Amino acid sequence: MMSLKAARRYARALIGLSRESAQLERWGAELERLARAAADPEVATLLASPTLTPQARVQTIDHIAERLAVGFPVRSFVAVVTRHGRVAELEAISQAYQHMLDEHLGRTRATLTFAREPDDAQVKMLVERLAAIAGKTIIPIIKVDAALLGGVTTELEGRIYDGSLSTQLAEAEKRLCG
Amino acid sequence: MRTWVSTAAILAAALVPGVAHAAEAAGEQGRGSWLALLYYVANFLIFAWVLYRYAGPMVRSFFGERAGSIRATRERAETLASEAEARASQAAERLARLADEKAKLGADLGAESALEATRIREASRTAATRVLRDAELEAAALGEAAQRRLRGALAAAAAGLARELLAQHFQRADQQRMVEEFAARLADEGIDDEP
Repeated sequence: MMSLKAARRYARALIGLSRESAQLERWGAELERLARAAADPEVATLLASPTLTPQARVQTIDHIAERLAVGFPVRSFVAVVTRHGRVAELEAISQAYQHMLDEHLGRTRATLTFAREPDDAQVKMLVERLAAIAGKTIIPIIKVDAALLGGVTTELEGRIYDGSLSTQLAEAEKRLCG
Repeated sequence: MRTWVSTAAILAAALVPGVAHAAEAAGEQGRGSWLALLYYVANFLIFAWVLYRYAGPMVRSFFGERAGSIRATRERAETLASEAEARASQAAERLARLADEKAKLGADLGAESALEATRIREASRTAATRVLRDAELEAAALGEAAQRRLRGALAAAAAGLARELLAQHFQRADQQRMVEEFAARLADEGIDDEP
């Protein structure tokens, strides 16, 4: 298992290659696509096979990257990672990259879980409020969970804001129990 | 002198019987003889002297020893009798003491029994109090636990009912209202977080 420290080191190296936000964003998306493909069980088994020579492993991941229309800088970066025997850690590197990129661009991600499918206005309203709290641009991750019964919960920078009916009911039940 | 007297006595005893027999034979023919009487007297005296001379010391010694033995036996019997009397008096004293001892023991036992009975009564009272208190506490705890269980069951039933009702009647408008309220709460949070 790769340490978070090593993943951040690789991510920082990639971020250091450009000052242009749009390019960094594009690289992040490409790295995420490639990491998701490499994490597929069949692909992961193939890449981890001891019968595969290091050169063949690099060629394989490069071939996958080409098929996913990944640009040259990210393909070169992934080739280096693969040569270092870290191809199985691409997902961790991708996550670290996204996190560092968010920090670099002054934004953060927030998970919004609704009891019912939200409309754009609801998402926009909550994102604005969360942005006011964090003082950063919010990238929302939307989820729907019927178990909430009603309302919404959010998770922002490790803090949870709960406005769900299920939690209110659980608290009422606890109060009734004394 | 003693030898001479003894010799004479022995000779007389040996020779005189013939004369005496002769006199006795003559007397049998019709008249008594003084010589025969004299002979019998002498014979008796000689017999008595011989008896006194040779058997006397043994008889005296025998009776002396016998008297000593009887005296010793009597003295021992007296000693034993006095010892027996002393022991009897000691036994009587001991019996008297035993009676006192028995009375004292009886009194002690009575006092100790009374003390023990008091102690047992006290211990019983304490144990009963403790059992009663424990029972009260246990009953209170059981009652409280039962109340808690009942409240829990009621709360669970109420919550289950509320969930069912919400699932049936919760509308999109309700969701909109809740999101708006939540947004308002977040806005308050943002104000609170401001420096």
